[in-house]
Amino acid sequence: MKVSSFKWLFGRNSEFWPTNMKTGMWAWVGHRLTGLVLVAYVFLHLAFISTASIGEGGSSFDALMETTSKPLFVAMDFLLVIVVIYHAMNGFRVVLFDLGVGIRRQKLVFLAAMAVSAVLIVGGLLAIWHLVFPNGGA
Amino acid sequence: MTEGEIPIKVQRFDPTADKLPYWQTFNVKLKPGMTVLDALFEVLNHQDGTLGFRFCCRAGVCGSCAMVIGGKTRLACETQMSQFMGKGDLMISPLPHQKVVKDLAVDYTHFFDRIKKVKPYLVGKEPYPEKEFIQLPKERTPINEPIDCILCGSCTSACTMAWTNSDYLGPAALMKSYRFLVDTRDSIPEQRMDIVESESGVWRCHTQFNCVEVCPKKLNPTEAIQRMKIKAVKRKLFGKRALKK
Amino acid sequence: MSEQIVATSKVAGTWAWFLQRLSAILLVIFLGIHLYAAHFMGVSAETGDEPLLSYEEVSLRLDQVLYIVVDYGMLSMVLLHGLNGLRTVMLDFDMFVRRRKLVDVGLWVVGIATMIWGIVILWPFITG
Repeated sequence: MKVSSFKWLFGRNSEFWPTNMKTGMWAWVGHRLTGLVLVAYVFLHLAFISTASIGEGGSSFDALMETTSKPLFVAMDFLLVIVVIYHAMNGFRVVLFDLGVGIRRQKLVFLAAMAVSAVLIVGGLLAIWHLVFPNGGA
Repeated sequence: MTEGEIPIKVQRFDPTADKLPYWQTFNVKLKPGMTVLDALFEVLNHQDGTLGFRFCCRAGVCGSCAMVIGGKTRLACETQMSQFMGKGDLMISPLPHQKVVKDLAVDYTHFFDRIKKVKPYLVGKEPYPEKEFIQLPKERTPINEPIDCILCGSCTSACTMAWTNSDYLGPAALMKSYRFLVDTRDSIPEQRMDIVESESGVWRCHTQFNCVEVCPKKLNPTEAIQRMKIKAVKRKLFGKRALKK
Repeated sequence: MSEQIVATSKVAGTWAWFLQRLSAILLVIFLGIHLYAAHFMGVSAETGDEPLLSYEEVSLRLDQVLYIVVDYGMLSMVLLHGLNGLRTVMLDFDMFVRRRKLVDVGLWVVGIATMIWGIVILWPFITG
């Protein structure tokens, strides 16, 4: 029996993933992916504001703000909040390890970081909701 | 398969003959106290004489028989077969992302090259004492753990940065370096720091903790690497006295 | 011994790592101020019925030196952290380790160019 590429990727004895993909590895994968997303976002953010700022006047900036409050952009903002908070909280966990704190209890530290992010994400989403619908929703 | 037998699925690969690795199933009758290494011997002696695997001490000291057993990196000589009874096929494959010499034996050349780069030997302080270097118990404490490393290669084979960056020293070599760095008898901490502080040294560690998960000796290479990172930054900020022991 | 791909730098790694942590902490602070100032301060936030940012409001805010410092400081930290992070990602792979000088120079060029772009973007708000 040959090893299929599917098994090579996802099988129990996968050659592709580390054989013990556990907490720390998942945290790192998430950190790296969110980091790359955020770098892309920064350039997108600059590009968006530059369309309203370079060469034109105030009306185009207001128009841009009008566009970015459409549901699609608000949904993207929701995702952005999740990504930023995950990256920040996991980054905080990494900084703790760099200070020599909690290395032996990395799984507990990860759970704590994720608990804090969950609270912050809920808070962030409520804040966006409040901004988009200042009169209490609907 | 009859009663009392465990089906073991071994990844076979002969680089001179095969294009791709393939899995082969053997049925091994469970005996009391049988380890995975015993089971492999059972196969080698009675079923297929061409099976290749590496072993030496059979007691978890030499670090020759590290392989992936049931989806987890373990030492074959220290893993009991009885725990896999009735759990379906037991998958056995070589250490991941290593060059396979034959079946379960992988090529350790690159692994030991990385170890050699960190000067894995004690450079004593001169003048040498007549008998031995005297150490207090509390001076010995920091090296109690890293000295237990048996160089089985599990950690470096589980580290994704060691897969993709062949220059990266890897957890085993870095912990070896740490072991001599914190040794009070050693006299070249500056040189050791210069080696581990390079781009392919400690800075490639992103605290994935894969090495900690797989270590059969329950050591913590990540902690050693983190301590060396702190030492490196202190040395850059405060100069040489940061390395004083 | 197998060949070593490249004689690696003994300086950049430590500072890159240290600045990455430093900029991370600064970024969290800047991000808090940036978001609060952009969305929860000013006239529209008080009246409550106009949630959008307006041009006048932003340029009013950017007349204050504090917010100019915050915005440009944040941009420089974002670029430091983001591009340094990209460098870390790249140096995990052999193909980029072999071209480490190119990676470093390329990221510096991208960083400085983006910084100038960012300064130009905010200029109308500061002067206007």
